[in-house]
Amino acid sequence: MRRVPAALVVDDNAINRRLLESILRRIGWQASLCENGAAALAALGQCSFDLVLLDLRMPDVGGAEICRRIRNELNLTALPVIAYTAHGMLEDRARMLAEGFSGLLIKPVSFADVRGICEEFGPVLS
Amino acid sequence: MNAPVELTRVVSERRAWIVLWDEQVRSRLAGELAPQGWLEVRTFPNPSEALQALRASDEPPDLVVTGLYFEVSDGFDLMRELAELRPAPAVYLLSHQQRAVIRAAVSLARERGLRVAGYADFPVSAMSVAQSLAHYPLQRRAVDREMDSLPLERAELQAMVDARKIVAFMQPKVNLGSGEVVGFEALMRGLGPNDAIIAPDRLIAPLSANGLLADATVLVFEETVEFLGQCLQEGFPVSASVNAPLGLISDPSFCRLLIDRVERRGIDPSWITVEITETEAMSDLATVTERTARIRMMGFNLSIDDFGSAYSSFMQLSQLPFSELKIERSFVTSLHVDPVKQAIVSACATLGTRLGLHVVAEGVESPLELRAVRSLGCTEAQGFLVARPVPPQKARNWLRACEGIAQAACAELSPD
Repeated sequence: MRRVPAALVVDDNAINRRLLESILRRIGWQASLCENGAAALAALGQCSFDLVLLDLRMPDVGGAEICRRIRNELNLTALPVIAYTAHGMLEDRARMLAEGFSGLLIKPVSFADVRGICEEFGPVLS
Repeated sequence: MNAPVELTRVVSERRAWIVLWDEQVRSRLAGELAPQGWLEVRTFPNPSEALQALRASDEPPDLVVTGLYFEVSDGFDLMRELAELRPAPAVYLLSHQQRAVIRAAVSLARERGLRVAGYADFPVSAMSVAQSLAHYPLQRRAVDREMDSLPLERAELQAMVDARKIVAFMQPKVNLGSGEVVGFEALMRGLGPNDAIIAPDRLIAPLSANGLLADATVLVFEETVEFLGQCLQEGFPVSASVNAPLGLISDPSFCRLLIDRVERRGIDPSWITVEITETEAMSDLATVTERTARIRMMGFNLSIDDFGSAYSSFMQLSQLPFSELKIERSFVTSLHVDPVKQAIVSACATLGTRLGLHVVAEGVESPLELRAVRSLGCTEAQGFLVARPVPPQKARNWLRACEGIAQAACAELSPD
């Protein structure tokens, strides 16, 4: 039986979390939802995920800091971590990739954007 | 009120004036027009005489067929005065001049707000001119004409704002790659007596002149935020655009009000794009940068509307925090048969995408235009071909029903 790929969605906005969950489900993924960085780090310590969608702008700990801790403290160096952020100007894009993100998902997202990221960074589905 | 009766009235009211120096052509054309249902056909040898008659007459023409070159005065003078009439007549241009001059005259007429019923260069038969005019759409209904000539007054506008009769109509935007509906633009409409829809050209300038545009914009914004919240909660990842004059964005209390509405509904502001026109974006760089940066700081996206209608400098474009560029509709209309428009749209699309912006073609009304803007590199399209603006409830029903339709429209465009 083929394993259902799993994504962790980290966003402080409830409507966004549920929307991403709904899109992911429609393209055959399952989603776990966290509303802040601490919860995300805890979830990543317990379960394994194929992809993390991480909102950059959150009130407590920002996405960049969480990404650094995923890489350095949890040692998940190969895990695709996607920065989920408002429209990036070209120079922001380069900076975020240098900070350890694997890719960018630009808000406002479309269905095709999410599917594209999942296809690019997710496990190869037979 | 009885629509067919009014229509009959209008038909019998159709008046055509012919202003041509060549007497033979003039009378031949008059002879051809009369049997085509034109009640009154008057002829003049030059613009000066036509203008004299115009000043003396309280029954202005619905159509003026005019040449461009005359011994005294010319067709351009005539058009300037015709444009002052309410309602302004349609013009049909007939000239010996080279095509480039006629085309310039056509765009000038449009610029001045005159409807252009057509144009032809000599030699052309009077019969073919008359025939092409026979099918020209009737003037607007008489009642509308009377209403249109009266600008809305402050008290009426204030009452509309108080009763929330300023509403948002939603027009969808599709992604040209995936065929997905990715967003809606909220367009302001007024609801007059009997909830007759009042178009923006009668609404926005008077609201602005009476200091009510901020209140009206907030009403549109609130309706948009509610619409957006419902769409997102239903699982549709769509964004929404709202037009706001730069003057309003510069008011911090207005911006706080916007962010308050968004937060109250629990929406991430990046689902909302604020559109400002290119003309406004190209005023003083320091002021514009401050105002637009503030909107971005709050998390809204920023779009430059009617791109191509003003004269952006590359400096301004590179400095301002835009996320989207919308190509002025006049470059999109019939671009599939116009190499000049194709060159302009292609350049805008290249510039925009290289700057990392969404590039939206506005006013797409035919499959050929859609195919063209897509192949020239635009990323999104908006226009009657996709859908007309409709009230939010209808837009949501449309969204539910249409997931397949937009995709089918784009599937048609698969490379052949």
